[in-house]
Amino acid sequence: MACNSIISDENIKEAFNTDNIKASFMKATYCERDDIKTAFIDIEKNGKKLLEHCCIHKEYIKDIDYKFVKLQGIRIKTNLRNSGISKKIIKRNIKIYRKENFKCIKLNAIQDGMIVWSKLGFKFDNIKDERTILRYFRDYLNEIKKIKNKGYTSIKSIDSSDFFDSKINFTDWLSENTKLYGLPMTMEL
Amino acid sequence: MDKTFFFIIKYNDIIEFKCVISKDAKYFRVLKDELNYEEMIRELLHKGYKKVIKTREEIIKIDENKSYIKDIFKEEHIDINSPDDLNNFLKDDFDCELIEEADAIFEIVTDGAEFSFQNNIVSPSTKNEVSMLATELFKFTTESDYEPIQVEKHGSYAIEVKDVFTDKFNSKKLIELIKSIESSEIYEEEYLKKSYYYQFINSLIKLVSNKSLKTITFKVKNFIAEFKHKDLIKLKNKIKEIYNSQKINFTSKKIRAIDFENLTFKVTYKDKTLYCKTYENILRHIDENKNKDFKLSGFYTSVKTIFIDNAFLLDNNIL
Repeated sequence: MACNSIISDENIKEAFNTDNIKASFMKATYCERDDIKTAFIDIEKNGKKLLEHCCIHKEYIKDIDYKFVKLQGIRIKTNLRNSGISKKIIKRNIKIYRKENFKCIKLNAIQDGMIVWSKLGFKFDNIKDERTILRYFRDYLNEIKKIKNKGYTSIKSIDSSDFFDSKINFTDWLSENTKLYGLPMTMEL
Repeated sequence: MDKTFFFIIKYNDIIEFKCVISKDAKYFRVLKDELNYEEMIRELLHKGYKKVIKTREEIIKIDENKSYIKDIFKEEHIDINSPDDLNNFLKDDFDCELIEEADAIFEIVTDGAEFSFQNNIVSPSTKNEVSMLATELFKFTTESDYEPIQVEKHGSYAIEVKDVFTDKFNSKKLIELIKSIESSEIYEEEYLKKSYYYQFINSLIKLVSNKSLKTITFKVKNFIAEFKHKDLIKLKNKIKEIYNSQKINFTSKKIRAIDFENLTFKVTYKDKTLYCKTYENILRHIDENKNKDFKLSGFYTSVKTIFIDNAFLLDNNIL
């Protein structure tokens, strides 16, 4: 397949091989076009599935003069979130993708991802998107948690526990109160 | 005259960001920024906004039983080409406002041989002094640490201060201040705190040093107060009295520029250079031990000048 020159199947799996995590393909990788290789990956740790839904969906894309990875979807099981799994995977991804000369990882953040990816080092392509989330986060703190604050200048600087509340989590509140969806983010490699 | 556009972002009715923006939205100058909005505004004006919209979902069959729903997004680019574009783009998510040309909040008019705006009689340095006075007066009345928009007026050299901080601008405070100057009154405690008041009084005194100045007039709405040069000299003398009453003791290692003709030397104190005058015997003693540490005591004769009436060598008390 022409798109195999972008990255081999072995290295796609190798990018998840960390801390007893093993990757397998849920369906054979294929060329969406000559310049796009698509993979649907499943991951497990010590025989236990880590994903909530189907799979991690990634596209490995070759542009005119550089390659990048597009993360289309990943959903870690609810009870395993905040356990550091995403952090370990991203760290391993970075190592392998750098070796394979990828320039960056791109994604469109939805729901929890708007916070999680930011915490993991992804940057919003539009500074306005992060500012908008921070502006709504102040409303959330005021209305739900009854906390007055002066405002934050980055999501990374916020303590993760502040996003949670027994009544409603911030990202659920955000979905109910705004139309924010699919915010483009990038991690330079 | 071109309109001035002010763009502000508020939160809970408090202005957190404010800038002046050109009508083509290419240039802007930040006047207030409490939460680093500047980065966002700069990016929007220079690069625009990359908008990603979900257009549809695509179902991908993984195997017989499983399928995967892929969001399909479309990218659009939004350009910001005017202050209106910026305001319209941000107003859904931010409490923002675009204000076109604010009214003058006060005016300072100077008069005298070197104070005519016509024919470029007024020098750039004099203009700068009047501008500083206007800025310090603005800072005092708004307690905001930035430079307001100033417009020069023809005739006697005058500056009109324009801004949109009507919520913070305290005309009563300004009028009270001007009235205190009319009675040559100095709020000593406030002055010695080196506050905005101190900055304003000092910039007024600096302007008074220009001997060609005949009058300064302050206009705040319907309130007008005109000061003659000789009235302001009284104020200058009051400041001198305050300084003369201030005793200062400090230790200095860097005594330099010893001048026996004028009985002066320079010294560094709190990272600033102080100009000192003293008696001849003290100056001689300092000169003989100039590489040593001294404890100096004296009193201010002006903002940067001290009269030293005692000097002790730190390792060996002499004198």
